[in-house]
Amino acid sequence: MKKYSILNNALYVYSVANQFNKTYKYKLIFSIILRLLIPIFATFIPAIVVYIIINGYEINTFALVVGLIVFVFALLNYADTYFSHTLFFDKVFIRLNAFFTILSNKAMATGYENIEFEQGRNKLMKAVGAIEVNRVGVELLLHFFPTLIISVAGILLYSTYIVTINIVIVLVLLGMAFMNVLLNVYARQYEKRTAVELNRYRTKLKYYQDEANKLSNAKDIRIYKLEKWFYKGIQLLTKKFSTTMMKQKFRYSLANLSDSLFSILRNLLAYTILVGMVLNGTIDVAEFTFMIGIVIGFAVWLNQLSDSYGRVKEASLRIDDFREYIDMDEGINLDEGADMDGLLNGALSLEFRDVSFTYPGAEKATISNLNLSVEAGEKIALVGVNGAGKTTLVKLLTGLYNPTQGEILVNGTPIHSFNRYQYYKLFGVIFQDINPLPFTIAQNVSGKVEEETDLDLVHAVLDKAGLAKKVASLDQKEQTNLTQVVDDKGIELSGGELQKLMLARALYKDAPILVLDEPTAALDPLAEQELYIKYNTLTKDKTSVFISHRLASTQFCNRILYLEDGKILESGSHNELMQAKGKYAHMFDIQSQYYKENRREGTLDEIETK
Amino acid sequence: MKSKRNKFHEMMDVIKISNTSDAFFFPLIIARSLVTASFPFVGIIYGALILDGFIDGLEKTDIMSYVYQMIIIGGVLLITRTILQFFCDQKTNLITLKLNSEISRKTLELDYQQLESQEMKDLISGANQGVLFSGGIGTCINLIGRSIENIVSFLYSLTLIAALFVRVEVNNPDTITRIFNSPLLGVLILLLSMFSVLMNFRVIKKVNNLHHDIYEENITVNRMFQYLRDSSMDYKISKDIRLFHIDKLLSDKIEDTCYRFGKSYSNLEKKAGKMTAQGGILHSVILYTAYTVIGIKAILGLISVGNVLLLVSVVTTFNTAIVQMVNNISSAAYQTKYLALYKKYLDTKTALYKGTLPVEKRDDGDYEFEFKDVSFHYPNNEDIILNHVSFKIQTGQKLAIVGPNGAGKTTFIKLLCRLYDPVEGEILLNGIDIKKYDYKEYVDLMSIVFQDFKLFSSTIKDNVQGGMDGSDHKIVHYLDQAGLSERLENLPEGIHTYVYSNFGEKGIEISGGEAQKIAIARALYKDSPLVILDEPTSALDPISEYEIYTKFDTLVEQKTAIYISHRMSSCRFCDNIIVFDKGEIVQSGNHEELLSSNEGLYYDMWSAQAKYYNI
Repeated sequence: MKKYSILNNALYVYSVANQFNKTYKYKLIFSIILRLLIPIFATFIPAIVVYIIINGYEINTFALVVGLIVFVFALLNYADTYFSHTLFFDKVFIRLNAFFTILSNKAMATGYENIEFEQGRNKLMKAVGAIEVNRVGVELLLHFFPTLIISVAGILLYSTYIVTINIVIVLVLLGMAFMNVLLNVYARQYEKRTAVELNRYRTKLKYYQDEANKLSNAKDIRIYKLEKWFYKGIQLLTKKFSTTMMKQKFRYSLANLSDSLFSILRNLLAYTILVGMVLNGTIDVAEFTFMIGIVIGFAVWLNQLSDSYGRVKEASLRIDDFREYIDMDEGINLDEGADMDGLLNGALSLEFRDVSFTYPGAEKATISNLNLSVEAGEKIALVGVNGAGKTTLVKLLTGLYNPTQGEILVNGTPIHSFNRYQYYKLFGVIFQDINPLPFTIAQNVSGKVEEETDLDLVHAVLDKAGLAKKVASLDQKEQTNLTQVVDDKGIELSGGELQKLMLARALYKDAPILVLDEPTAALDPLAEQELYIKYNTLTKDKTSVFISHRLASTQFCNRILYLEDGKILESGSHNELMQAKGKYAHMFDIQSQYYKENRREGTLDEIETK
Repeated sequence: MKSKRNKFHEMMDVIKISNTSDAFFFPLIIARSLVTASFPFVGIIYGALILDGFIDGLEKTDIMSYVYQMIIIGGVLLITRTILQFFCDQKTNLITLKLNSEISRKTLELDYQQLESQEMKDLISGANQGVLFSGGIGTCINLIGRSIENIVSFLYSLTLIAALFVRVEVNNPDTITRIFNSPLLGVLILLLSMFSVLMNFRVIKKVNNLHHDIYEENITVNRMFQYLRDSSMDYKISKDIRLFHIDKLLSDKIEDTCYRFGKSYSNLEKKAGKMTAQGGILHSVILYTAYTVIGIKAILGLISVGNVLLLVSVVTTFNTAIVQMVNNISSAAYQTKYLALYKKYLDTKTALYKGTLPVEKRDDGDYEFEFKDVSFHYPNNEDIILNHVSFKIQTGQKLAIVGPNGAGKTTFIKLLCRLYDPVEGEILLNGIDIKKYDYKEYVDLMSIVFQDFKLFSSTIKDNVQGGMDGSDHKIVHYLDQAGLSERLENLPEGIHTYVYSNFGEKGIEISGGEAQKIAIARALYKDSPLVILDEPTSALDPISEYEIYTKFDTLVEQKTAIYISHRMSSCRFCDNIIVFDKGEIVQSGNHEELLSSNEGLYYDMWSAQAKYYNI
């Protein structure tokens, strides 16, 4: 993984921030100057007061001078408070509007493999970690990088001044700084070493806490007394987490302890020297007051330095994560690509040439050396046992996965030569898992914002999919929001209704290739039959692929492909395959036996022994 | 006034919660507050002594003895504070962690019916947000600790400030000296200080209210944002995003949400910034007054130079102590407002009537369930889901429940296992209302594989065993029964293999079919007299489905079993079939009986599927 320096990351963050908010940098510079001036001023005031008193000035002069200084001080403070307030919100918006948008756009545009496969998913999760909340990553850097600059400037400024008094004091102060840095480095290294462990405990604990709170888990938890498992896990992890955390924090307190010891030494030294200087007349009492103030003020800068350096470093690691995902290779063709004109209307032919696909980290190929050609307008049924590779095949075809070997062609053109986003337009797909969006039904169907949604078409496809009646019964019709994720009045559709909704969505898209992955699993028999009856109309002039465990469905398809271990074992029409008495026939017999009118005793055994 | 008292109570509640969780936490925080508050006064007092020592021309040894005293006392306090700080931080973390888990613990305790209500969903999210927004109870206790620190410095300042009220004996004072010698000036400074505190309090209150209003105003926007944040990066949704070009819709919504956030907060940003900054002006006025008044006293020789710095420091400390105290207390109160949400959730009582009657342990498994005129609708929704259902489930019977989507099949099961109580009518076990039984014992009677069953990120063993007892041998046995033995043999860790692991353990990914098999093994492992399968095979291929059905038949043996399935073939296994339609039982009987009439819903459904297999 690429590591950037703190400075590089800071420049990156600030340049993004600058693109979003042009005035941010001016406010920031102003605020830095203010934060540097204020402590100096605060040290200066008592010294000047002492000076005026011991030098016997008039009361009027005194009141005027002090008034002037305090007035300036008040102005500085006013500006500082105001700026730190506005800067805080600016930071939040930079994180949300600039960085979050960058990441979500990347996540939505990049190759699907970068988001589904564990490696990509983990990287994405880490990148999210940089922008998730206020106190991490981007905002942490925006908050503490200026502090870092200020404290370095403060330390330089103060040491330069203290050198003019006595160099030994500066040496002690630098020793203090040195030990502080050393111990902090030690603590940070320890933290780094134990970070993976700590993080594991944290995510695991969070998992337990979150899962326990999920309604969808509640039934199983109650029936199988899983609460005990939760209690045990939470208790154990809390203990592990806090012990590891304590070990980490202990290292950091060593640095604090060293600071305390050094500050005792520093005070001893500074007071001895300065008291001596006053007594032998080198400096007066007013100067003494100012100098003591500066020596003690040095520690404040030092604290700020070690604190802000640690935070910025922490933030910088997160920003590395963020940039790594942003810079990740898309893995798909996002150039203009081959000409798509003419492909969107009319059926298309498909071809798999020696296609293999292995999941990252898997030993065995899920699809191996698969060859297949599908004519334009052909209706294909894909069957096979669980894990045979059916869904993977669909993901390869639709361009979600890239073959590890071989190529896929649409109407004779290899799909990697198309712009992938254009290529996606060729498919209407119903997947096994359904994720309704918490927006209106109409938007769920069209996948577009309201202004771009063709409501007539929405009605037409809802009707075709058999959902029109349900939608008509709702108060807000197709403008009803789905789920209660966002809208409390949103409705939950049943499994069968959701499947119909997905069908409507695929129909709305009206793409030349239709892929249905188990579209009937949650449908009742009558709804299932309805879909079968409609199937020919739905797929008219389209090439289609139908995956189902309900083998009845295969009968409307021109050709059935029986898939096993990533290979096509059998191919042909229902009748052909039944006559061949192969794997498909076996599977069909098993499923159909109970539906046969005159089921003979012993049929089961016959099938069993095959 | 009443609300203040409430706030006080809320704060006491927080301290109580903290004490129950860790008795040392709050005392430690108090000790830290005392030490922290004392530390600056060492410098203030000795600083003045040293300064006056110079001016009064003390010997070097005398001055240095002040220096040593200051350094020793200060050093001890500093080191003590460092050590206390470490323990306080540690305990803050621990207690926050512990108390966050209490939310989960509570959820696990509550009735399913309660959890499903919108009210409870809000309570949970309120509790979670409460912890999130306040930074948890540890942070709140720390704030209370800071307030105590402020009170201590306030008391120190008050003692030292007394010097302002001392009238010094002066021979032949002029008017100015007389004025500046008056204790009334001290009163003036104190009054000014009080005034500034009041103003500050108003500012803080206004700013906090602004924040709260904006937060309330944006609750929906917030939810939308959270959804968009999660979904635009969720791999499950990303298929749809790509193939249905939802990216534009989502990014439009993201832009819109961010814009709405921005609009409401940028208003707040300017207002709050100005208000807070204006609050600071008064502080400068006090600083100025203190310096002038006390400085002039010194010029007039009424007090020493050292005391000028001491008194000014004390006045400003006095002032900031009060301001911060008000600030910290109101922040703590503001946080307790959120923590009150947390407490409210933790104080929720379970709602189902829980009987105490033990369930008779019968070896013959003779448990007879009966629905007696049961009607049901979900809370907050008047649509009747079950309408006067009466049905008796015979012991040892294999019962199939069929019907169109939304006919009430799953609800029937939910009522049977008391996830809900009927709105009307009653459910009987061996003639006694199931509400009268001990709930846990009653639930022990049933094993269910729900349509949307859930497995957890842990070992296969943990997933099968759940919270029940038994041996590893038994676990392997039932996994084998469920048809998972082949996969299990290939796993070097066997049943100790992690499934769905995201935590660094070497886990395996399992398919939907395999997950279903594990869920079935879990149900068998529970070995209870009633077994319910709610669409257990929808994700399975025909061969696995066949295996499960044939095996299940022998597995459940004499037990009572209920199957819900859209695959009508499963009905052939069953002794009895009930057909649900629109919340009512429209038909019942065995397969042959139901088909004999050549009409009715069962016939329709059966033929809809069967015709494709009879060719």
